Amino acid sequence: MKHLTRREFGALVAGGPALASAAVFARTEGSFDEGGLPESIAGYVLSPRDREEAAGFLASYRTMAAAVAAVPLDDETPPAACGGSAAPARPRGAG
Amino acid sequence: MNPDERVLSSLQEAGRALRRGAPGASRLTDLALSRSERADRLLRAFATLTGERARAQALQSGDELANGLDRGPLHGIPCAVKDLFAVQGTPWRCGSAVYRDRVAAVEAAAVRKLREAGAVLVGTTSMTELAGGPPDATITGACRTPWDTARWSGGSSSGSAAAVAAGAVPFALGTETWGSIMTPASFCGVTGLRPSFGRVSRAGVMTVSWSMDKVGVLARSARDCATVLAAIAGRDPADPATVEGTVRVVFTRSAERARALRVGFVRENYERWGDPEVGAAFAQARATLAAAGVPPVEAAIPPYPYEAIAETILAAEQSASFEGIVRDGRIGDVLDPARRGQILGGFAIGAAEYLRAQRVRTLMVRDFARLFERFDLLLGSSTLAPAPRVEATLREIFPGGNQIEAAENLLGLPAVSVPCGFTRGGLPVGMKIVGPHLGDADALHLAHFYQSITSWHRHMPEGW
Repeated sequence: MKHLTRREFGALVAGGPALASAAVFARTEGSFDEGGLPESIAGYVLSPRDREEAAGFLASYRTMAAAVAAVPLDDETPPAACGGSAAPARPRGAG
Repeated sequence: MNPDERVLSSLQEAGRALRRGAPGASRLTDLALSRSERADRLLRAFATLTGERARAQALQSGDELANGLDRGPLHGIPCAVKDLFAVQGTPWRCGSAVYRDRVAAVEAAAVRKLREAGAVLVGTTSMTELAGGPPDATITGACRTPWDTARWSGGSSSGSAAAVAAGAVPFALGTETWGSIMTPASFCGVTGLRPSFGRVSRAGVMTVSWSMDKVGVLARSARDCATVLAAIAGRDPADPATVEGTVRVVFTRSAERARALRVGFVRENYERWGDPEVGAAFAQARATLAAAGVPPVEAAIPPYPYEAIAETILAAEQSASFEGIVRDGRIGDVLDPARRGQILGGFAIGAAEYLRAQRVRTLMVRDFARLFERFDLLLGSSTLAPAPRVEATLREIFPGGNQIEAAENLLGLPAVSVPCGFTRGGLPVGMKIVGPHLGDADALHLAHFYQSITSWHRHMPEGW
């Protein structure tokens, strides 16, 4: 997986978050076990306090993720364009 | 405030005074610097004062105006920008020890536009660290509202609102990702404009969330906000999210235009989430508008878990944005432990989860488009409670409610926060006027109309 710089990520988000998130977040997903935290994140070694705070954030995030997961979506719904101002143009049924 | 100083509380008045030559640009800047030093000492409103630069700019502006070169309504006007805008040669710390030694080598696009319009920059304003966190999570110390210096000015555009409220500058730039203009505008009793997503370039501005960050304005009135917006809006290749064109609002027929608007309002549970006095001020503001021929009708916003969607997107993008400081260990300099946990924990948000939130955001776009077929504008409370004490925790300040605030920021909607009253304890209360994406002009028209029939925005805190 190519490592993106912040500038590259910003440009990709502006052009379409799907591409950016797939490129960046897939790289980190494997680092986390079920609800747990690795020893380090992006090379930064977590202190006990940071581990506690990150775990606290993730616990509340899991509740939020469940709320997002409960919203019904059909297969045709694409990610929002940057800023949420307009959905990307993709007619229903397009390949 | 003496008569010379009073012109600092209005961009329009300051502009007229400059063209009369009394006070001149240099005198006006000296007054602004003097009041800014006081606002910094008593409120902690500034990160850096740029006196030398300001005096040089003022001298140039005065010469240009005297020689008939008029750059427009911002020419010679003192102003300030939040500490996350790059101002070349000036500390660029974003309220954080992470960047304690950084000096900007570049100039933010919005700062460049202000400079080209002749505005005189007196300093950068204080903010909560990295544009988030509780009142005291900042290297400059908690910023206070001049209405009660034991209370917070709001965040994250803390100093921009406090500086305007204190009459130090007629306007200041701020930014909003999720509440960072509406909140300080409300707590400080000033007018705040959060333009549509994409209206103003974010080049040279610290990123929290690429898909939610917006540059905006804190000023005394909607008219002043519109004047600044006209100068800084427009397409910028350095920020691919920007849209073509600017917004030039002519207010001569605001009343007529306002009365033709279909205005909805969002009802909140102030007893549970805020302060009933804020709800009462909002109800009175609606009654005032109704009596003036603009009757707001209750609107039901589509049911979505807005805060969960916003938190997912913001946290994931924030972790990506701050990956550099995680990699080199400077994340350890972030003062607020909860923020460190949020940034670090955000790396665990999976690609599929982030994308699901973005797909739900698409449904929100669709449903709000339908809502805005019935309403031209929506009204709400800018905050559900007045300014809290500076010791308050984020959970105490924002216990919940105000779901539309997350929706507005996810959808990139423009909003204007206008002062609409005071609590019995003398704290200002704000009402926000929200438009559809790129509907900035209508929101400004209604805000101006409201300010033409009320005087809340003209109140100054005692002693300032």
